[in-house]
This record gives sequence, C-alpha cells and structure tokens, in this order.
Amino acid sequence: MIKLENLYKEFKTRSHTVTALNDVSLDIKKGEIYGIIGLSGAGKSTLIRTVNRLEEPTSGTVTINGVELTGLTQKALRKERQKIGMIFQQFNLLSSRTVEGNIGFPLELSAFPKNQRRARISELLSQVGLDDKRNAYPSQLSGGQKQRVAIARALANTPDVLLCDEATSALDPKTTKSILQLLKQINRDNGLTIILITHEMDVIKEICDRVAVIENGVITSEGSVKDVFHSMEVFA
Amino acid sequence: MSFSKLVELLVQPTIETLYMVAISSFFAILLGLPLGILLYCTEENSLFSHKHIYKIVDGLVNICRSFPFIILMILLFPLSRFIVGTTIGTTATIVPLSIGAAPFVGRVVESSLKEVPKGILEASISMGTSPKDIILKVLLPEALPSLILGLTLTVINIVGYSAMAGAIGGGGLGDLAIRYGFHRFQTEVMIGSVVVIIGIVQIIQYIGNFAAKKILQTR
Repeated sequence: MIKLENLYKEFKTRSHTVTALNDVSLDIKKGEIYGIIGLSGAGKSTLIRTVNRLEEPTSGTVTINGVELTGLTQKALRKERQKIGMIFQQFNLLSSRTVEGNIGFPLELSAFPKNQRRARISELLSQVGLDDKRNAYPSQLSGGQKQRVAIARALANTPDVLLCDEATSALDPKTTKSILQLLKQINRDNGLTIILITHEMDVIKEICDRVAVIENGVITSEGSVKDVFHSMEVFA
Repeated sequence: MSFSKLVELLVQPTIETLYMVAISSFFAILLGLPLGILLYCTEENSLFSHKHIYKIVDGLVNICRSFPFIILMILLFPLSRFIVGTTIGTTATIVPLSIGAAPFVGRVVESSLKEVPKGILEASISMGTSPKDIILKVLLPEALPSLILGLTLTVINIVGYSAMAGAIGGGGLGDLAIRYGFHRFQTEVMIGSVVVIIGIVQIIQYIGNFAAKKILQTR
C-alpha cells in the first residue's frame, strides 16, 4: 500500500554533503503498524518526512495507494496530504484556536460540509476521549491531552495513513502507554495504516507489527518485531 | 499665559496630531503588512524562499529606514504634492509619515511571524494547507499578540515623527511647540505640548498592552 523505493536524501552544506537517506526501500501493507527505529541522527525523522514530502527526497519514489506522490504538483500534493494524517513530538496545535477549532481546521481545508462539522468533531472527540475539552485552548491541556487533540485533528478527514513522528517522545511512560493504546485501537477500528518512528524499543514492542532499523541512513534490518529484536540481541 | 488660554491653544493641534497619527498608522500598516509577509515568505527555508527577491526587499527596507525622517519628508514633498495637492499641513504630512513607517511595520511583521514555531507551520503543511491559508489562518492568528505589541510600537513612533514633521510645516503639536515654545520663547506652550504628547503615547501603549494581554489570557 505504501511503497518507498530507492529513496536518497542529501543535505549539502558549503563544505560537504551529508547523506541522510541512502537507498531506502520499504513496502508497508495496508492496516499494519510499521515502526522505524534508530538513534538520533540516523535519518528516521528524514525518512518519515519524505513520505508526505515535508522533506523532498533527492531521488527515489513514494507511492501511496497507487498514487506516486513524488510525481505530483504542489496543488495535487496538497490534496493527497489531506488523506495522510501526521502527528508530532511537539503536538503543534494552533494556540489561537480551541480544541474544536483545531480539529475543525483540516475540515475547513477539505471543504467538509459545514452543517456536519460539529457532529464530526463530536465523533472524533469521543474517539480520543476528550468530550469535555471541546472549548478548551491547547494551553489548558496536559501533554497527553494535546497529543489526543492532535490525533483527532489528524483523523478528521478519515485518512488512510497516519504518520507518527516521535509522537510519544515528549510524554511520560504512563501517558505514552495510553497514547499507544489509542493508536492501536484506531488501527483496529478504522483499519488505519500507521507508520511511526521512535528511538524507544518499548514503543515498537508495544504496538508494532513490523519494524525496520535505520543506521546512518541505511535500513540495516527489517521484519517482524520478534525476528528483528532477536537478531539484534544476538549481535549485541 | 493663563491656563485656560493654554488649553484652548492646545485643543486644535491635539486633534491634528491624532488625525495624522491615526490615518498614517492605517496606511503604514496597509503598506507594511504585505511587505512583512513578503519578507517572511521569501526568507531562507520559508514558504516561497527566494534569495534574490528577499535580498532586494531587505535592502530597500534598510535603505528607507536609514533616512532621517526630516530628510525623507523633504524628499517626498513632490509625492505629497502629487497625492494631496500640497506639501504643507497635516494631510500633506500623512504621505511621508505612512511611507516612512511602512518599512518599520514590515520589520515588525516579519519578526512577529518568525516567532511562530516552525512545527506549527510544518503541521499545517502536512495537512495540505495552501500557502494563502497558511498566512491567513495560521501565521497571522498565531502571531496576533506579538503583532499587536509591535504595531503599538509603530504607532508610537509615528507620534514622534508627526511631532518632528511640525518643524517643516506639518501642523499638530510639534508645530505648536516649535512656533510658540521655540520661536516665541513661550516655554509653557512647549511644556504643554510635550505633556499632551506624553499622554497620547501612554494611552496608546496601554491599549496595546491591554489588547495583547487579553488575547493571551484567553488562549
């Protein structure tokens, strides 16, 4: 369903070139939770950001549901992005809008019928367990609640894919667990494909079906969580 | 001079000053806001990064801001004559005041927009937001409190400039202070004008602070 083929990403500075992604290819199936793990600087963040072209790959292709994103114009890409949810480590909610305003933002963009927005927002709020926070501003919420709002916002236009860029790295272990449970539940209920990157093995063990290990821009091993972690322990 | 006479003398110039400042601020923001957005958008790693456009606009803004205001006013006499038909009086002063303050507004807007966290921008892009919506629905609302404080600064600058404009026939409180206070040695008129100007500045700053605080409190 999501095909990354021969992705390269180079960052040029005045004196030298850094290769952040070096011939990365992945094939992610519909409905699975796919983890990418690596140390900081390994290129995992660059990798997940090339999936929706927040980062333009130097070469290689990204194909989602048969649509080659890397070949699209900016305008067509914006349309596709509305069907790819993304959540971040720092939540990135709009401080100028309430919870309702934040979740409603992508609905405004996709021209979701105005008279159905309120109902859609209620539905999303109850899915992430924040029915009573509708009129709160992000500054009044805890980290875990903010991430729940971000998840609701990412799901607003019923995407096929959810990208999680270190989504639990700013949260304490208990909150991390509850957010991961929520992601798992959404994956099951909506049949949503989830790609997540993290530097924490526990996150992978907790919810991922398959995992890829990235080191210095290269995928060094890939497969089921059990196999990959087993082989890592053997070599460690 | 009696106190009531002094007050009487101050009324008309105060109205002139308020008129000059209000209209000039409006036009300065009208010109400066797009300028600031343009500066922000063309910068490195921004929405429409464009090295050359940024360098040109950046340079122009710096050049305009380098001119001492009095000189800029004299330079813009022909433009004032062209737009309002005269170079003397409060209305004529609005032209150089607006143009003199616009680059300042541009910088204020640019720096306020830069304060919006990059992550919020990225999240908006990831949702498929068009550049127009990013500017109107994300950047400007997110930067609003900072914009209000910056624009308050601008309006206060314009008060100062408008007083200076009095020296070369601009009208208003600066004109009064120079004609009576300086040329006729009526120190009390000078002091009166300055007191009124101080009052105006205080009120503007108070309103700006209040509005910014109010917005930040609800958020």
